[in-house]
Amino acid sequence: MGGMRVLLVDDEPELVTTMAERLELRGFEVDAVTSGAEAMERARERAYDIAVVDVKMPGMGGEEVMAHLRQNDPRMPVILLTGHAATEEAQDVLEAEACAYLYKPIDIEELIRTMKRCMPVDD
Amino acid sequence: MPEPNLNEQNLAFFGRITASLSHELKNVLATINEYSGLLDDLALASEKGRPLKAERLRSVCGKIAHQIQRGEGLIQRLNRFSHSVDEPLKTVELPALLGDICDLCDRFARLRQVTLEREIPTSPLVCTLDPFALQFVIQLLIDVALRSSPAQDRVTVSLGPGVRIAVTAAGPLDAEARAAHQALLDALVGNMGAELSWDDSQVSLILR
Repeated sequence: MGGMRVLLVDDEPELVTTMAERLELRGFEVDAVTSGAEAMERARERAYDIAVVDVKMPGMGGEEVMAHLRQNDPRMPVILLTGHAATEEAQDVLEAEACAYLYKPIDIEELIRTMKRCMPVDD
Repeated sequence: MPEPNLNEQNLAFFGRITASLSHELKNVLATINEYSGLLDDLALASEKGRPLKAERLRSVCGKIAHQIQRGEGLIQRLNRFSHSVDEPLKTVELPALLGDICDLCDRFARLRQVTLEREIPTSPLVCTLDPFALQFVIQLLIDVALRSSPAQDRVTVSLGPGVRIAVTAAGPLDAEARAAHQALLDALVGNMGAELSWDDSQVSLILR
């Protein structure tokens, strides 16, 4: 998993930078951004193996970010993060066809296990 | 248009505010969780021989303290908001109450990428009113203004002479947003014995 390129998107700046640092300590290459627009910009500049995206963000929400990312790369695995298992939000997440969704606070080891599970198996 | 059921609407407003606050609190806890995990990671790395600088630890502890303060602020807001239903009529400091409802609406504005500005004098102004109903009305007016303002722009809440609370959008008030809340606003404002005045990009609540 070392060297896997991760795009991390959450509008909580301290949360996203600390998660990025913890993933980097475990050998991942991480770009952390705080908006969907920034995520699009980064995704245009370089390729990522996986994206981890918060559902509820100002402007472009997680589902929209996922849709844009998949326009560039239809196989791109996306993990959605959500604050609550509230019915409407959870339903949105389920319907968004993410490869997985995780509830905050995130257990970093669970996130890594989920990322591994979501990675496509080489043909 | 059917009469709005005020009990249902009041409960929905209470739910909207507490759901928003709980979402923010969840983010505070999630951030503290990451900092705690980072300290654990740094301790583990130190055990494996990687130098651990005291300055780094102090920085993380300072950030945790900041998040705890943020959480404390959210809890205080939640507590004051919850107590606003204690009595139907209460003598309140209007500037402080207006500041509270603006704080509670900040997240709604952020989600629309709009800045919620306050022009609220700090001088004391005491009023006897239903604080929950007033906050509900102001939240609805802010919602109309937010729906009428483009992203990256601003909505302003101001308190002026004659106990006039004005909410100003960045553009003309959206007719659909206004219509969505009109019956409810009329009922709430009528019960308060107050009056609403609609202009092109501004709506004012005049308390008597």
